[in-house]
Amino acid sequence: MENKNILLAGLPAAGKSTYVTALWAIEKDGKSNHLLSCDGFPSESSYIDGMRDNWTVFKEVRRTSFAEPQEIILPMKSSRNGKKISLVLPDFKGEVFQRVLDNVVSDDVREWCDKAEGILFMLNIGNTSPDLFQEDLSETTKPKVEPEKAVMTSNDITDAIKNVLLMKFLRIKMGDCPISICFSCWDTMDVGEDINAEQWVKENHPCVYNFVENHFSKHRYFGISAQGVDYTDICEENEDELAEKTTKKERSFVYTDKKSYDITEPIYFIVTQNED
Amino acid sequence: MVEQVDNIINKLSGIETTSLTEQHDSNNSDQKFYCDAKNQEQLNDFVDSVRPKLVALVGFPGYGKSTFIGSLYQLLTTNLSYGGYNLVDSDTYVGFERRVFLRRVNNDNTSDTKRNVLGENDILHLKLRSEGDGSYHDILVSDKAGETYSKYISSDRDTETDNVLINADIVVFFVDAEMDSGRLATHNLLVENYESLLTRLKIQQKLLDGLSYIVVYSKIDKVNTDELKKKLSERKKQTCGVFKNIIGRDPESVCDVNSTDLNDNHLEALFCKLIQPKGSYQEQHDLDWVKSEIEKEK
Repeated sequence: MENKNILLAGLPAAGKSTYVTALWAIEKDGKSNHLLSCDGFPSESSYIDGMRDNWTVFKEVRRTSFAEPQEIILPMKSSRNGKKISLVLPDFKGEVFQRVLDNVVSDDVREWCDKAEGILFMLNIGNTSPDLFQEDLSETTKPKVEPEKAVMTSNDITDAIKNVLLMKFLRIKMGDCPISICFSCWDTMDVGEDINAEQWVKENHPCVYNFVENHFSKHRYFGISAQGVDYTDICEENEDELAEKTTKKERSFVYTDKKSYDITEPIYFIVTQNED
Repeated sequence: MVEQVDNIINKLSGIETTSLTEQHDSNNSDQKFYCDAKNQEQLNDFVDSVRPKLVALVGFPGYGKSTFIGSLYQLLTTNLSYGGYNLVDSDTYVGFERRVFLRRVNNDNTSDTKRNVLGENDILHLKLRSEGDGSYHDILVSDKAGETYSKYISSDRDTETDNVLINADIVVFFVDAEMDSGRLATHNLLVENYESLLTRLKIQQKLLDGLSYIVVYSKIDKVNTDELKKKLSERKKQTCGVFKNIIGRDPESVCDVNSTDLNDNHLEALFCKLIQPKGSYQEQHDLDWVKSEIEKEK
């Protein structure tokens, strides 16, 4: 079975762990009829099983705390041609990628950049406010910090640019590889059905769009909701209904130009690019 | 499209010039962040088959250079296209971000001198793509600390190490409009300082004959009464006369701008001019322009 190494990349709280958790929870029984679904159990699943418990009962998936990336290996099968692959995704702490902005690159990141054939890039929609610099020019909202004490850290870099910097780093290390750009928490967006994900990125994150369009020839934009719902909205009245959706595999969704419950689409896009 | 920039991005990324190791020297601002501003010795790293356009921002502390360039960056990153160009990359994103950050935390009542620390890297980079024909070009902007130019006034030693001005395709001189329209003594000081700076640069042969330059009156919003406007109008003749007399030609333009007002039409016109690719006559320059200067120094 062919190994498909895909680098799951994103800054802290981008939704990387939640995505792989939902992927496992939905596809593990192999009955989804999605583009990819599990073809048997992996030899080791304790890490994602631990996270799946929370996802199933609508609790935040705990943020990755391991210093080393947790490698998730899933045997999968294509519903299109029956091809079997061994999907390998590393679940890195987001801070590992954040440190790239400080010029600190771990050996694990280096190693993954060498061996991955594509990038699943996660961005948290809530952390990439379109009003990038809105506060800059307003006299009333200027924080009263004495300039002498103002020491810039990588946290002060605009969120959208942090993501562009990380993409740039990966582009240099990995070359022009396939990339799925996934905006998480899509359920919190009031996008409607009139606009596709690409158009939304173009209008709301022009610097991300311009960078991707000019540096990655094989790319696709996705809106993703791995949680499927804002957990703070859950109450006694709607919990059973949502649990039902979970069972029907209609809780998590991706969005390109329409809503789809097949959250393997971003991975499928990457693994099929090099087959052409 | 991607292939066209492939080689360039690898060359200009900073990854080859910046140490990507587990450790970094936190005292060395050159290496603190990925894609931070570059120094003038790294200018040659940006030279590919075509020499990038080099824009030098010149002005004394608090004259609004960083606010100006921060606003340009803001417009380029928040718009899909600006002035007919897309910002597709920068090897100094963090250099720009640093200027935006410092502008954000800077208190109005505090001198701008803390904005750019003396000796901090000054070279900023933009890679732009024309919406019209899809061609790419690079713009380099030098935004030195104002104190650097204050030091240039009094010392040959400081001016002779400057390799930016002699190679600049266009120089933008900043005049603090609030200062120039205020007390006569302040206006006189401003004029004297520019006179001394330009004279020393001229003697040091750092200003090319026929230099293209623009004079920008920043903080024009602070000149808000008829009396101040009248004073500024009268004094402009004297101030601009200094540039003309020493440089030997008229400025390409004299612009009044408020860099904090992104809807300012004058600002937009100026930005659009600065981000355009350079004219063909400038492409005749030696590709090893800065390198040869540095070699000469050695």
